[in-house]
Amino acid sequence: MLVKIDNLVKRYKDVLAVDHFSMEIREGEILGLLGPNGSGKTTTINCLLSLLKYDKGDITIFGQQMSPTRYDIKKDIGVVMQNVAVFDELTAYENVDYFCSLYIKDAATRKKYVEEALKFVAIEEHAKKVPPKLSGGLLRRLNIACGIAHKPKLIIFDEPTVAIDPQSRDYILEGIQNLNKNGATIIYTSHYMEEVEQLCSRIIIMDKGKALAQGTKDELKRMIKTGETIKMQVLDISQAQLDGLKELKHVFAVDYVGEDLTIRLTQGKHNLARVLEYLNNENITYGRVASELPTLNDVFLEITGKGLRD
Amino acid sequence: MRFKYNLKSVTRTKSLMFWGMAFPVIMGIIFNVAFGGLSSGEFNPIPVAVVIMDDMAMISTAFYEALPMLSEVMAATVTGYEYAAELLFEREIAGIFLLGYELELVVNSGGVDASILETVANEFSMTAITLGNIVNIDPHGIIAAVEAMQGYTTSMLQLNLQAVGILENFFYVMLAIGCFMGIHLGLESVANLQADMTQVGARVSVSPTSKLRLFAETVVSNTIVQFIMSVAVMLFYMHVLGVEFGERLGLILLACFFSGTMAVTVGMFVAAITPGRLAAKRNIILALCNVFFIAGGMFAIEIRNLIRELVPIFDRLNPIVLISDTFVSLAIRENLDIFIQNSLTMLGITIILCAASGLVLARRRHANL
Repeated sequence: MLVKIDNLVKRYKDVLAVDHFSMEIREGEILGLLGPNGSGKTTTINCLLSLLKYDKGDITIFGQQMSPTRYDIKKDIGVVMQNVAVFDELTAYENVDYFCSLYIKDAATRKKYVEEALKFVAIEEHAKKVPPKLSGGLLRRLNIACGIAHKPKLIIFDEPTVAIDPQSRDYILEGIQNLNKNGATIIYTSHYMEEVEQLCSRIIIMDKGKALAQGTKDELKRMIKTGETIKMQVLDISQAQLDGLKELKHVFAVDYVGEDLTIRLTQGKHNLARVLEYLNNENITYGRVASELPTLNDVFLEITGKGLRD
Repeated sequence: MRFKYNLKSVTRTKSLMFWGMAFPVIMGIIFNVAFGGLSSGEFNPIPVAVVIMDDMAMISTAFYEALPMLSEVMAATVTGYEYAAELLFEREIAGIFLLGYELELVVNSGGVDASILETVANEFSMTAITLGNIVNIDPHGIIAAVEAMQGYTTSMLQLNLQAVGILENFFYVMLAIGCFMGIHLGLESVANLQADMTQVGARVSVSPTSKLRLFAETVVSNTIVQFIMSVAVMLFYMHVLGVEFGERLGLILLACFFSGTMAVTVGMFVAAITPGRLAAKRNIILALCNVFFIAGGMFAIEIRNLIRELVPIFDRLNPIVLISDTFVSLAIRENLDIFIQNSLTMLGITIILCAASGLVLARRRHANL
């Protein structure tokens, strides 16, 4: 195991921020920590990095007990903070060089690494600009360059795509995949399920400081009752007809809000055909029919009773 | 290499540059414009004209006789009124003393020269009134009164020369204030070493470089920046404003170094030991500066006297007192006792605060961020 957290507990006075949390990360994985804001993701990361004291638990990285003075462990870790952490007075190049110098002493190697990092996040053209002159997306990319320039074995990305444009977001996600292909193990925290679903080989769903479920995205989806969600527009439907829908095979939940009808079904064959046949038989007018496989939001919804962005 | 970036980062921070360098420079310029001519090392006697009118009263006679004793303050030329008026109009003299039934002074503008001449005239008139009263009450006391008048002349001379000295001292005081502003530099730089203060601090804290090492680098770079700023201010005073610091230039530079370094470490210490975010620490520093300034008598010397009497140790260790006394002692004292004593005290404070801050930073574990 590259990283192992065992029974971690972290309290902020009366608030239990991390509640007996355990996880393991294998070499070469992209592990996603998925949860809403305040679910304990960043606190877990800060404990993992020994930035925070914690009340209970064991943390090992590269098979060694982690502590604030374990510089031998820290030298192989890269961190991309949730908030941009750069010097406003230094240029982009100088910032990357400064943070890289905390890891790499040899000037020639560092120069090469800094140039590669700037190229990797595609901000070479802006190397001489100071951060206040960069757009939000470029600033995030600079933040990433500062965290990865020293070529760490383990990279922690703490919500790196918050408040940026879609192009920069795609660029960052693609970059993370490339880092992983080049051999880095990644921990990625986010409350955007689409990103985690796209990027991560394994996912831990967190809420209120607890790991609610973990596995690959398919494993997680198989854990829940929802196998398919059918959505459509229906102008008029009676309560009796809604009750009739609920009686259909595999249907376990029916919601009708405004003109939107949402039917949740367990996994089964011909679910859509069966529903449409019922609607036709009842002479119900419908349109914009869509059948969706379960998402991580469905997983989160079923486990916690609330959506990821609630 | 990081050292280079520390220097760059500080020198590109406008607020730090303002308080450490621009502020003393601006104050120096303003002062120089307002009181130009008095900033040179030597005090030149103020040129005045003396016009002897008809029926000179005793006070005017006494003043005329006292003129040689005032020669270090005033360069007096006895002349007619019209020529004197012409000289005053041409600004070749600062004032005209009219010696008649009363002692009258004519000046054509404000400024320090005019103030000094007014002080001379007023004090002389006051003394003459006193003399007149003595004659009326006890005619035999006139001999003692005349002696008193001569004593007055000497003390007047000292008073005025002292006044000029204070004006010169301004530039020393501004250097001292520039050094003291290093307190802000210390605060801001330590913020970037603490995970609970800035994002940069958090990133630095997860790196494999020890806090003590980073702290040491910061201390060295801050000290150098602070010293360079002091030297730059001094060079500006010397070469642009024409201020002469005399033969004690080396000692003044040493005073800049000790003062600036101590101020930087005070800022670092406050940043290291106080709780809260950067904004809260900035407020603490601001409050502390006010306490130091007020207790140091910068607004009213009586407060410093009171503190000195009630809490002598606080007065002895007050950074602004240490710094300002060190500079002023170089300006007005012949011996170096205060300079040496204060420099050693500042060095001691610097070492203690540096060690304490370094240890606190290296051992700190955060309960929250």
